[in-house]
Order: sequence, then structure tokens, then C-alpha cells
Amino acid sequence: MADPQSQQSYPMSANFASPWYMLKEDNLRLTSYNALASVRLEVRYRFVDTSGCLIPSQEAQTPNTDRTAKASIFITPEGWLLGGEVFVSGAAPLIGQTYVVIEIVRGVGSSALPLQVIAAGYVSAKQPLPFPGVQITSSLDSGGAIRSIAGATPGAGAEISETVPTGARWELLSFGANLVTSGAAANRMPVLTLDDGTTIYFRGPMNVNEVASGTWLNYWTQGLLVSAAGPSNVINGSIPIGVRLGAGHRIRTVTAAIQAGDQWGTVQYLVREWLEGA
Amino acid sequence: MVECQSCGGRYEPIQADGMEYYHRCPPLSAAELEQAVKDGRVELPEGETVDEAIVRRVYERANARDENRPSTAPRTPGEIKAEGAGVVEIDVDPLTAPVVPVEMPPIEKRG
Repeated sequence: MADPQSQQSYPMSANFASPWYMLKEDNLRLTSYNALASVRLEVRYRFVDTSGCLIPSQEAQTPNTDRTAKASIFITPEGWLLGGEVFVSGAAPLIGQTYVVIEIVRGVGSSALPLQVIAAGYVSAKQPLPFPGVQITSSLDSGGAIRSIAGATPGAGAEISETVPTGARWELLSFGANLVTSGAAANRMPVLTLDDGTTIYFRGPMNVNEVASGTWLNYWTQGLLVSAAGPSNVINGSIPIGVRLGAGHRIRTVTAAIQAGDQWGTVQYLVREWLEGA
Repeated sequence: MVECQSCGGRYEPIQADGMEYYHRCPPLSAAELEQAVKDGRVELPEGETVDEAIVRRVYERANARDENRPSTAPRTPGEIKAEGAGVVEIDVDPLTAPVVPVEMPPIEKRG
């Protein structure tokens, strides 16, 4: 790395337009983490160059949709950064779905050297992120995005397994699925398990026998004290309050006495989601 | 709607809220493990039943598919953890198709 002190001196005799003086080699980098399709980010900012000219600029980025990082470097003039903002111009992400980091970097390309983070936080259709001078927030600092997810329908005789995606953290709020039992006589007893991708750390059993030739509507929800059966084969079970699942963790059923002709289906669950680097 | 050729699971790659869905094959169920034992593909410890085995350990599928990304760092676009046997596009599954008016759809066994 070149010594920044040796490259150029700060213009001490000049009138400072802002505390954010940037050399010619310094640029702005936008890094986004996004989980929603069709999101487009706009970046607008103003500079005062060394001749005193006010220079407005506008840039754009289309983030990835799989929570992976996407970085864009915007070439800036030598001078003072007055300020700017990042806002969403496409789609309508919720808080918890599109997280951005704005940095001053030296150079361009993947080898650009990060010098200072000047803003970081979620942006939504209604909430731009201003910079600089705003409090930097973690991607885990918000209330998260509420999502209702349709899970996979497993093959006959197979169990349900849903995985927290890479780059996400979930709080499981509720989980529902129907078990259609075949005519084979057996008392099925579903258990909802949480694991870290390998090892189970929670089991939530339904303490009700689900007998042959029936359609059993199973719902696990935070805070219920006991498993109980209601009318129309509705069965309620409990999951821990506030349980957080990291990327790669799984929500699965393990059904005692499941038969080859049994069919799990209508898998639907409610989570609170945050973005998290991994 | 696609069907995983490793496990037979069916799912929509894009959710109704516009977010992508990443499938990972489930481990074997008790019924599948029992069949695997009968077929000689799995051997249980002496004296252990399938019901005991299924709660003591997890039996992952050989050639399981995992569509999750290896990392959030920039990588090859679309790279996933494990291809498995791939997926095939299928017609919309009537079991999970949207229903209007909104009410609980009937569930039927899939052959």
C-alpha cells in the first residue's frame, strides 16, 4: 500500500467544504447484499472539487438476488464529499431484504483498498440511506422482514426439510404442514426438529397419534405450552420463543412410524429474516 | 415448479414474494431408512431398530442436492453447494397451486 501521507498533502489553506476530503485516487464503493428480485439501487451525491465547482453525480447498481455481495466503485473527483444517499428505484424491498455499505476506497477494481466506511444499513422502498454522518447499523439491527414461505413438498414417505439460506438469519415464528396418512395401520407422531445442518438441538413433538387414512393439519407456533388436538384434525405444537437459526440450519419433521404411502404437503411457515454475511 | 431428482421433492424456485427458494434434500425418513436397510444399502448397529436409529442419527442421501450458495462473498453466479441429480421442470403441482377462494386445498397422495 502506498503511504497516503506521501502522496498528497491536505489543502490546509483552502476553505473546507466538508470534513470528507478525498484525493483523486479515492473513490466511493457501494456493496450490496440483497434477497429480492428486480431491486435497483440508485446512488446520488454531491462533490465540491478543488476549484470550487459543485458536482452532482448519479450512479446505479442492480444487486444480486441471492444474498451474495455485489460491489460497484464510482469514480469521484478530488475534492470534498458533501453528502448523498442510496435509495431503491426498482421493486419494493422491506427492511431486512436489501443491505448496503458505502465506503471510501483507494483505487478501483477488486484490489481497491478500503479506507473508511461512511454508511451502512438497510434501504427500503420508503427509506433511503444517507451518507456520510449517519449512524452505521449492523444487518442484524433491525426488526427483520416478515416472510411467509411455501416449502417443498417431499416425495411420498419422505420428511420435510427446510434450510436457512446462505446469508440469512431466521427467527421461526410458525410452521404448518399437512400429513395425509395412508391406509397402513400405525400411529404416526410428527416431531418438528431444528438442527445446525447436522445435529439436532430442538425437538417439538406432537403428543397426538395421527392414525391411518386421515389428513392431519399440524401447526407449530411460538409460545404454545402443550401440544393439543382441535377439531377437524388440527393439531398444535410448540416451538421456542425467539429461536434464531443461522445459515444452513434446518427445520425438519421426523415422524415416528411414518409409512411409505404417507404424504407431507402444504408446507407453509412464517419467519423473520435478516441478512447476515457468511 | 421443479422436481428434485435426488429426493423427489417439489417446489417453486421463486416464491410468491419474489424471493428465491433454495432446496436441500431431506435426510431419509424412517420409511425410507427401513427400505434402505431391506435393500442392504444401510446397515444398522446390532439390535437397533429403524425407529431407534432415526432419532439417534441423521441418514443423508447419497448424491443429495443443496442449492444454497457456498458463501455470500462474490463467486461464480449461480454456484450451489451440491448439484445432486439435478431438477426437472414439471407442470404446476395441483397440491400447491394457488386456490381461489382462499381455503385449505384438499390433499391427495402422490403416487
